Amino acid sequence: MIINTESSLPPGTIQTGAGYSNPPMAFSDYERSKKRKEQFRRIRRGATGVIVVLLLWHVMAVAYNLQLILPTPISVIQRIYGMLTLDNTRWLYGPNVYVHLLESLRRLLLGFGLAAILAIPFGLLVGRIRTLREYVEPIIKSIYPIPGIAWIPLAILWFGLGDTAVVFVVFMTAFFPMFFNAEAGARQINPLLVDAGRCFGAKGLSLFYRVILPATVPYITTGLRISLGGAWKMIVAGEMLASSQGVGFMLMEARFQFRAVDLMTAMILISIIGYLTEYLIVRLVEKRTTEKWEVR
Amino acid sequence: MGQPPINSTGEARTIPVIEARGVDHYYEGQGGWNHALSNLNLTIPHEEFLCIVGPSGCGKSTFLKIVMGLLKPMRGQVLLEGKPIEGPGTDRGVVFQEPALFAWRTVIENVEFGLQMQKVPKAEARRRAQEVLDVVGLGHVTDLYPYQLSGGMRARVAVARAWALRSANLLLMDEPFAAIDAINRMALQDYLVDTWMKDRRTVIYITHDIDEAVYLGDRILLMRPSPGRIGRFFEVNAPRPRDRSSAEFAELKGLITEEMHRFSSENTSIQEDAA
Ligand SMILES: Nc1ncnc2c1ncn2[C@@H]1O[C@H](COP(=O)(O)OP(=O)(O)OP(=O)(O)O)[C@@H](O)[C@H]1O
Ligand SMILES: [Mg+2]
Repeated sequence: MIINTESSLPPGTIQTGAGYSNPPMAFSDYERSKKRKEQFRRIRRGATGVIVVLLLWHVMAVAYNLQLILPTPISVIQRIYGMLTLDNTRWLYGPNVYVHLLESLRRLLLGFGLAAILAIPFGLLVGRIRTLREYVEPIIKSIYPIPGIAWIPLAILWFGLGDTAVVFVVFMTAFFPMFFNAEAGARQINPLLVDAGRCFGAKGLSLFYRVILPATVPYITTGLRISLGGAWKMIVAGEMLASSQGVGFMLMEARFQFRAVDLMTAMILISIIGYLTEYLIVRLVEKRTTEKWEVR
Repeated sequence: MGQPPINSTGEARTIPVIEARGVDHYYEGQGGWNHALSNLNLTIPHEEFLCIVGPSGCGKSTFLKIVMGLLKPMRGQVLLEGKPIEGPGTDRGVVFQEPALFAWRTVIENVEFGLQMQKVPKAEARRRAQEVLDVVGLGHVTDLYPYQLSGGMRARVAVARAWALRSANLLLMDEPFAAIDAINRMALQDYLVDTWMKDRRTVIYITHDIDEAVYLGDRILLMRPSPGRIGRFFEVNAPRPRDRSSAEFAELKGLITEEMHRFSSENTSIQEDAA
């Protein structure tokens, strides 16, 4: 009756249950062509939407002769191209566009990064440790309703017009979504997982790093996404009011110079950079974590 | 159990692995306190294979959680090697009633978890994990994530994770094979008996399958529900490997089943009286 599985495990002693093989050819071909068709259809529909809006825009601008305040899409695209290829290396009266972009990105990474480094571990701790939660909850709850933008005047008063003030308001904006998501995530962890971690020798830091942090990742990525969006908006707002560099400053300058083309160009750059940072930061985290281990 | 077991230095070990003294535990239940364990006294000597059976809700998992160090009983205490249990630790290998796998780790990384926490060198941990996974029949899916496994496969990963922990002299298993198909279950039971005979550890094994209890255990504890408490002990003296088709095997099974029915019906009549 005893099967000696210790030394020489005869294959097949224990049924493995699953047979692995390639799906039948016809099936995978069918799947692939269906996927390609769907993808093509999606691109076609999306492009149609964009083209319709661009056309309407163009028609409006030309028909009502609004070029001064509503330049045609073509002129905006030309301006973007020109700006990025540095045909005119100066942004109006400031440095070239890359300097502005880098300055904004630097502030974003500083404010958002600092907020992430503090908010996520702090949120996890507050979520797990009841005593700590009872101490900090009233503080957090009373600061949270103040919108990031309301910090700008105080930030200017404290740090003067410039870099620090902008980074500060970005930090204040980015902190809370990450904090609250990490906290909620840490609270909802299946207690069995924490038990399992503890039974297998994890405690203190290792329990946090090996069990609580990974178990909270879906919440953390949600927090990152919301914070990043908020932070980018706050960069623009902060720079409009308190800086002489960056994309927000580009907007204000363009308005002062009454240059609608440059204004819209800056807005489109803001959209592109916002999208790219979201993609680079959040998607990168997701690709390396939940996408590997969650049910697809 | 005849003679007390002898340890490597030759002296008899008199301190039991587990000694539960007057353990009482209540949970907050629907409209009051639920008396989950009542005055539980239990001594488990070294190297014993103890099976615990009993009707659902009679406190089996609750007792095991106390031994795991995850739950402090409200009254009484449980001594592990003579010392009160302070918390969980790698001196006990545990299998929960649910697999409780780490979704973010592959199968083999799940099995390595305990070894990693003990700072076992990477290559050594990998080798050991692979070995145990081969034993439970999962040597070919080491790199899948838990969501890609069937329920029975997940249960086997949970078993492998506990078995990989060589530091554990006490195995605590809560219905570890319940979700596993009959053929694999029998193979795993045989493997468990086999390793236990070679390398005697103490095992507390909860099951709802009386056949399994009689096949595996030195001693079977049948618990009584409402409140959960000691019901009756059964000694199984048949040598291993045991013959499931023998008359004694069937007789003992019948006896335990009958007793369990008696306890269950007693339980309902108590509730009827109260109502
Ligand atoms: N975390 C909990 N909170 C409240 N009540 C609980 C909790 N865990 C268990 N109980 C109650 O305690 C009693 C014993 O539960 P336990 O899980 O120990 O039973 P069991 O013998 O393991 O049952 P099963 O065979 O169904 O697993 C049950 O009545 C249950 O409702
Ligand atoms: Mg149970």
